[in-house]
Amino acid sequence: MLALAVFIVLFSVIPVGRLILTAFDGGVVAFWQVIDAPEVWRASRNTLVVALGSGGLAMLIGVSFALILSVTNLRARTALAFIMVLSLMIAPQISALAFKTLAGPASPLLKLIGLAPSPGTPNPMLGQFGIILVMGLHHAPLVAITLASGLASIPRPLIEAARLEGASPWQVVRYIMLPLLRPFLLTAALLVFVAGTGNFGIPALLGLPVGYVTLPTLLFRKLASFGPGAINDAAAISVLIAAIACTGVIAAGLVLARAQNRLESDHRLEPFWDLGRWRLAMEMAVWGFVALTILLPLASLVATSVVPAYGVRLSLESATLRQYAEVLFRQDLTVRAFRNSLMLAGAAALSLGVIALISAYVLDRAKPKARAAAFALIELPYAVPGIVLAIACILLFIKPLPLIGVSIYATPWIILFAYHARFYAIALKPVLAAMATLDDAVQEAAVCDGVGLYHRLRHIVAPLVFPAVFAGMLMVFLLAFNELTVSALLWSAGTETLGVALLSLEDSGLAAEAAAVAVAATLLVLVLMLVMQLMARRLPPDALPWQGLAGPGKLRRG
Amino acid sequence: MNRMIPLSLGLVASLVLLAGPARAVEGTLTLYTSQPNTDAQQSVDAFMKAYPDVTVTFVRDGTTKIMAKLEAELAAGVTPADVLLIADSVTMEGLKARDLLLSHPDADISAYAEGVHDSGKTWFGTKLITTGIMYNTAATMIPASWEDLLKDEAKGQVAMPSPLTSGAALIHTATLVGNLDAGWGYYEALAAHGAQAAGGNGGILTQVAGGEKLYGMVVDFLPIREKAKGAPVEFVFPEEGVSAISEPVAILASTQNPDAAKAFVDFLISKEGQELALSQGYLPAHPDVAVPEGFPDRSTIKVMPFDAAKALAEAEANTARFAEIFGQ
Repeated sequence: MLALAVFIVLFSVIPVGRLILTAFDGGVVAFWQVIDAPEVWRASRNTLVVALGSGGLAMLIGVSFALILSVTNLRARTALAFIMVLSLMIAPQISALAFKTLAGPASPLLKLIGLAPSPGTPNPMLGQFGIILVMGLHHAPLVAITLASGLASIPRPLIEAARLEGASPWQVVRYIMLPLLRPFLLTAALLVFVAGTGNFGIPALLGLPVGYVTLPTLLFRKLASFGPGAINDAAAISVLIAAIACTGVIAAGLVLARAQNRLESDHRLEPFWDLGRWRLAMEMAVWGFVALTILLPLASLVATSVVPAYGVRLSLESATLRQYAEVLFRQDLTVRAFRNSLMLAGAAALSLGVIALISAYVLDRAKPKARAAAFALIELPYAVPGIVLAIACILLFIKPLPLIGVSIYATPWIILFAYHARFYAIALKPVLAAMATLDDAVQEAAVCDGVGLYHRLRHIVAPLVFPAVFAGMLMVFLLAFNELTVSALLWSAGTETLGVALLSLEDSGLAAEAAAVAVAATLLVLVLMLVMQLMARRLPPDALPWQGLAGPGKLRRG
Repeated sequence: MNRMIPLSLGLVASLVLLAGPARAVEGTLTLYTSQPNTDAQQSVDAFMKAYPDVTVTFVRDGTTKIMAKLEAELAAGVTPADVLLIADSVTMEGLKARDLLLSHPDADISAYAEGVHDSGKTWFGTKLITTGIMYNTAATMIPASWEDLLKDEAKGQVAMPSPLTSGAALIHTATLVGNLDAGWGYYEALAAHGAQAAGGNGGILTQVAGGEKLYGMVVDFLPIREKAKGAPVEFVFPEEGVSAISEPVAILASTQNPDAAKAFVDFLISKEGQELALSQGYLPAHPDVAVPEGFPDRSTIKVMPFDAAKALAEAEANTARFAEIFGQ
């Protein structure tokens, strides 16, 4: 119990509390003075446009995808779901870079086929349109995954009954499934709205170069260019970002509270819509979409990474691997960034695995109300955008720590701390779910035999929930490895992360080198995901996000 | 005669003392720099080759940003930085006035002209980096003066770095405002003409080389170097003149390793260090080192006059005014 309280206070209450104190340091009037500036209003408007626009696009794509994968007899669903989740697991700044190289006069692929617009044409990916497009596509898998868990809870008998009564597949989807999915649709919409509000990587790469500023990039630029003098302004702006995100959370919470329908069934939904001769057409449409929006940008990124100089036409003779040699072997900064990101993500994953196990054990035994309150607090640092958490950490650690007098500012520890706060909820969720399914009788028997808490955790609980702990750790690792928002503000000499290195290369004008780093990082994520796929049989069902999305195997007949 | 021996021995001993004990140059060194990553790595590698016992780590960001980082660390009480290699001497003068720089009286600057380095020997110019105009070779109008960027052909096609990121851009802004008749009016006209100001010089290079914009205000070495690699760009020294920075190096007073830091400074201003800058495509500050390919002779480059003291005093006001004009 005490351990849980310590984790919650340390990772949630202290950072968020410190931020709110600073933002309102000079009272509400001073807070208002910072907020009431033309640049802040403009950035707020842009943030809302981007969050709503990209959210709408993500919903459209994500819902279609989830439905097609779960109700129709499409083939190769696992491969589709895998690619979809891969696109989510690729860092947002890498997606942004890929799309940036895809269009515009410098696009190596367009140049190769002679379709590049003439010089002097602006890149359509830079600015509002590009940000909404890339962010919408990037967040679509989030919607699909959220819906997949909802689809899994729809009882199969309900569908079968409707089909027997002669309902068409489309009627089943429209009048039975969509109404049942309402809470999940809301959750998904909320998720993408909050993610869109707080996203930093995409507007940083596609907005800042053309002066299109959102609240997170405004905050970053203020702090990066004006230093600690701007910290109070930054705190006020970050509270504004959090407020926008929270408005969404509260609105969704109100609607969700009224829409509670718990459906559990042993018979999971299975594909019922036989597309017949339309199947091939549908498959071509879906794969075409995936190729266009996920595979093509990645191919463009690869092409950019082998051009001899930005703007040069690519050919077999001019292609070079020099950039890879440069960033993977020669430049200390990028080599160090790979190492740092691997180590920080690994350390956060390992330590959160243990913390999640202990917390879930305590939470599982807490009273429902206390559990809900505790979980809300744990989720707070993940729900508020990463840049807000980063500001909170700076405020917290810019002065040496009380009592021991050591400062962790400008050390890797501040980033590791922020990762703990940010990804605590991610590590905890699957463990909590697994813990709830455990049979208490086993434990009670152990207690009767006089087995202590440590040994009960170590030898009874841990082995049973280990797959869930492992799944949570992997998610934490992938998220932390790709992360830029938190480390963009917290990095220092020697603690640059991969995201920071990418931004630095872009800023130096080393576009091809930046692309090489992006390709290498993407390959690493791909390999990790393939390893997870190979281990799938040893994990509990749906531990891997794309398994849930792909749904169960074949079309049931008869 | 016998008494002469101890006397001369004493003389020798005191001479040795004067020369100082030959302390080994070793340990670690952290460099904060605004050089592009590849160049910074090459500089560091060349130094470590000459001093194998020193390990140098570098951190790179735009001058304005890296200074913000340094300030934040100083506020937190400690910075890992030992040596700074940043765009401009104005920023260095600001640090010197706050006693944050360590002077290096033994530095050999005899070969250099007056004014290249700080007379108090705290900062040392390493190059001559001018800001002029680059254009994509697809452009129909070839700019020859700053005013040409206001022509119709350049409408919505000009990109420039922002002083919010770049130190060179800050000096460039102060120089143009001080020298062009229109002053700030020139920048207001550019903004009204759809010119875009954001980020650092690197971003300008990619935008113009990639053809997203046709014209850019940019530091000389980037387009000249990329042209050599085959990129479709040209660089012009406008007829009114160019602005210039010297990419100075300085040692922070708080350094834990002054010997290695001094060796690093000595290396950069040595003939060998200057040859390295030449090989990287920079115009070296050393008058006896050649000019890289693609550059005109030193004497033909017209640098506009610039009031450093005024620029220092007005740095923040200039940045704010620039940000206001370009809606940042």
